Amino acid sequence: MESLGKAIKLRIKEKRANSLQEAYSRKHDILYHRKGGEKALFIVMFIIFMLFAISFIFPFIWVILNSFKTKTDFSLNQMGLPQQWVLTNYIEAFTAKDNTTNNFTVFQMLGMSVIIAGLGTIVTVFTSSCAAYVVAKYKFPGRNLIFSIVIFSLIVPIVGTLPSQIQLMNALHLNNTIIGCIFLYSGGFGMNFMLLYSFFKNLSWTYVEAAKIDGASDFKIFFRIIIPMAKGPIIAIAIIQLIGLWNDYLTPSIYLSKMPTIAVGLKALSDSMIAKGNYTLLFATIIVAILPIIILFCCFSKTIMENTSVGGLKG
Amino acid sequence: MERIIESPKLNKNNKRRFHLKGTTVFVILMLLYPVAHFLLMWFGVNINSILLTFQMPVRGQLKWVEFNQLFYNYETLFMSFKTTETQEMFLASGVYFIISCLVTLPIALFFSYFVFKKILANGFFKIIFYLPSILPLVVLTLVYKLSFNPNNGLLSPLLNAFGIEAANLFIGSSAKWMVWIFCIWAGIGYDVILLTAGMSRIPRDILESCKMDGVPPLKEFFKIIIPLTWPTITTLFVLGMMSVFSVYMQPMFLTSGAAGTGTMTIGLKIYQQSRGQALNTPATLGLFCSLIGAPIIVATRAGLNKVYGDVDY
Repeated sequence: MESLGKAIKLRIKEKRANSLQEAYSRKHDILYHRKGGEKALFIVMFIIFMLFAISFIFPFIWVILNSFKTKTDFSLNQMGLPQQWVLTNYIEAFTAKDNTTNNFTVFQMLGMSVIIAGLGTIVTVFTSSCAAYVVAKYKFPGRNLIFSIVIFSLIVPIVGTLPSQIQLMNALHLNNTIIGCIFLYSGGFGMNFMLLYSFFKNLSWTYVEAAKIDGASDFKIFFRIIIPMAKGPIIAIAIIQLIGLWNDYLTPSIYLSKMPTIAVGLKALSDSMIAKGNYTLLFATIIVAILPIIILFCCFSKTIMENTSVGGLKG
Repeated sequence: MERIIESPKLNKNNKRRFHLKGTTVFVILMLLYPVAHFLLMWFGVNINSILLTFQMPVRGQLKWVEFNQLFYNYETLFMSFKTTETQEMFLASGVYFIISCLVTLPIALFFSYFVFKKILANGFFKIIFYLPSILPLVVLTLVYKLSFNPNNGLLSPLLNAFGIEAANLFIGSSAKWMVWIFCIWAGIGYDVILLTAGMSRIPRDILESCKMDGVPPLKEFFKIIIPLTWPTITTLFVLGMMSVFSVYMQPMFLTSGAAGTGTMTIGLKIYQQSRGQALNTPATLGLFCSLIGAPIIVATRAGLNKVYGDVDY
């Protein structure tokens, strides 16, 4: 516990030092010296940005504050601070369940999200890495064909494949199974493939050649040399993928309706809580649902922000 | 007597053959699952999607249509074009082209210029722009909707002060406006992230030259930033065009595409109908939209790519 505290303190200190350094370099950088009309334009835009930021933050602050209120307190005072700060909504939120969620509690739904998003991320990042590495670095018949078809599938928009996919999943008896959901996520030729492909394409081949001379097999080279070398982009893609799968609504809502994830369950619970007028409980449930993702974002914000590219993020 | 077993001499060719065999096995094993998955979930699903348009439900089960009624599903779809409901759906979907490509993208482009030029507190604003991508859409729509709740919403006192009845905002004709505003509000952040990432690749020398020559910000924006960020702009424009067919969650969470709201989209219709038995109807609608939309989108992409040629720096 003590070491965790130290690590957090160290991280805060590091972040502060970085921001100070950034502020210093910004102050002394010719690119950011502004005067006259340019300065005025930036001030106007700063005000617009602040209003935009407030429109995002304020509703969440309102939700947080009201999640600590009792029902009566909320009905009398929706805008102010709680008369009495209570945690009962949060305690109740973890055990909240409904017929619409197949009697899954929020805690169980969080568990489902951990399983689905976690396993889905591991499998899809692994298959994408395997495919991207081989297509980028090995010459074999059909390589260009595979690459061209993947590009085609990403560029050409095809609408309405959902009914066909549902029929196929039913035929494979994968509907309403965890494995079915993970199977859908496990494709190796999506945007992750493209990102890893460009990384592997630019990767130096020297280490691999040295390992080959030493008699290492292709599998050994991949797992012992390539994967550690690609650790950075793989971790970044995995985090972005994890957030995407955690927030995914479409796949679990159709293929895992009897075992809802938090994204699916929250929608069902919110409808029922609004119908019952239980807003304070709903607010606490919203916070519980987004807390894991916020923590993940806080821990890996730099990695996420530096590695986001087209298709990487979308709820 | 001691037996000596001679190991086969490996000459250069044998070694290479062995090595090639090992590499072949490696390539096959590494590609086996991804290719099989792609064949099943892309080719298989798309071919099945076409086949579905030649089936119809009979006593709860999909059966092949009679030969003399081969295009039954297509005829039904074309007949539905005469109904106000379908016309409204196509119109409501088409509006997302305007929202994504002509409203959200230009605003985001302008915003990202200031983030890129390190406006005061740009680190904080970057996090704000990331929020819609980090938070589940269910939560965003829920908080947005709750804010406009007529009885105890965050904005209800403010709206009442202006004489606007918050009760009606998600019902009736105002509902579509609420969905559109949400799409712009939540969509700007995603575009800003990608555009800022695109702008960050612009060489510093070019920007320094602009500064030295006293180029005003707006001129720099239109003459330098936009041409050099064009590939990212093209991608986002194309994604915006695709939203005409793919938007379904925003209207579903905010209005459920209820009748009279004008918020039913092609994507939502396909999603809702896919949950039923008659899978032939959404499959036909989807295939029709793909046949119409895909060439337009691909042609637009090709056209946009030619505007500034290959951006190389």
